[in-house]
Amino acid sequence: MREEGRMLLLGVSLVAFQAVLSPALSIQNLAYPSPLVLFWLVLPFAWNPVIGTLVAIGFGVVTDLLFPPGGLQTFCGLWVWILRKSVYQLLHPNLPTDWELMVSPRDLSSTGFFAYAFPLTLMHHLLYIPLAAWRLSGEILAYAGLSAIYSFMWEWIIFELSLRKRHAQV
Amino acid sequence: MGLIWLRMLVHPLTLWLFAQGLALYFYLNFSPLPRSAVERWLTELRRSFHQAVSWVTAPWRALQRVRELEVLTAQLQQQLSLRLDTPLSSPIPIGSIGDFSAIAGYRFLPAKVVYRTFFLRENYALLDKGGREGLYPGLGVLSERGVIGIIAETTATTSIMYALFHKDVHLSAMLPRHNMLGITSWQAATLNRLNLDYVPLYTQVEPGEEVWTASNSLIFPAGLRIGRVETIRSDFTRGFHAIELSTYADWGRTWDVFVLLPPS
Repeated sequence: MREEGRMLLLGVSLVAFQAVLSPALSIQNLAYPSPLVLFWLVLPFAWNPVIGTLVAIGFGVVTDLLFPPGGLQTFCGLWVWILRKSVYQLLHPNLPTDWELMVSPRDLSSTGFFAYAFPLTLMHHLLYIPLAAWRLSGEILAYAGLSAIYSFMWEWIIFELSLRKRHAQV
Repeated sequence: MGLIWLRMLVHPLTLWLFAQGLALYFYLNFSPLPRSAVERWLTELRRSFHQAVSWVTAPWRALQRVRELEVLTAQLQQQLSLRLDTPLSSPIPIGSIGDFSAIAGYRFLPAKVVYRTFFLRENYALLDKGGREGLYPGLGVLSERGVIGIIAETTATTSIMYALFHKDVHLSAMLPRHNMLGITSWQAATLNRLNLDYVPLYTQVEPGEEVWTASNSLIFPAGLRIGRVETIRSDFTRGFHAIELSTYADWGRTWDVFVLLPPS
């Protein structure tokens, strides 16, 4: 399957997951699974930056239209989008100059995916949930942290089942 | 040039910033909680800004207010002079007048103190106005705050004013609260202090009471302010109070005076 088709399918699946499964899988007052952030995380590094940015914005707009409050999904998702390359570089300090064309998030091992995706998922949730609740308290932060762990668990499952390249190290 | 702008416009960072701004705008404007919070912040910001501007501009506004009050004071003085039916060309020494009704028709001629004595028993001052301006011996003189002396001698261009602090100057005075008469005298070596004699013992005089010129004075009209009662001592051998006044007029600091010209 071509990369573009795979990303389209991933986007649709994630939106469906968020719309259908997330409410059912949520643990009341403890955690809410929101693996949408996976889309911004696994967009190929090799894509043209302008195209990649437009796709990232487009996905944010679609999720904003479907899941209120409007604007917040794009806002938080684009932070993940802008920081993901820096996090990848931090985890792999000896990358060549044209590394973006050579590697993909899908090449990451399970451990590598955890190191790459979890901090960004946590950041996304720590931004999204207090802003959506418009309240900053220990309770909200704990909810955001637990939700990040829960969401990451689903991201990891999806990544392992359908995204990770077979040749990647475990 | 246009190509550079187009490149800047479609630069990923520009697109990212634009999308972030738009997303934040939508979120803050169309979600009820953030919208009310933003409105509250903006109101607070506007209030702080106006408060800061008000604080910074306060001295200028105060100065402007002073100017307005100066104009208002001048207008009031003008109206007051008209009310008293006196063709005044100078400000009235309002501070020296206790009762305006008695000075109807009087005119106030401003003069300057050229020099004065301090350490004599017969203190006097030289004024820069004389007979040419209509002055003659026996006219009363006021400072801005109260009665200060009497014209004793005049030349064409100057006058000698005997101060209240002259051993031979006595004024007929009254305590307006009791309508009780007395006579001032100066015997002490201390300037700005007078004695008020012949106030009967049965008068309940209190420290701080005002002392004005009396209506039976041949020099001053009634109701001009002389001073305040400072100390009261009862002299039972004579049957009168021995009252000490502090004068409103400060002999050492008075440079501008007003000669009181009676109605012609």
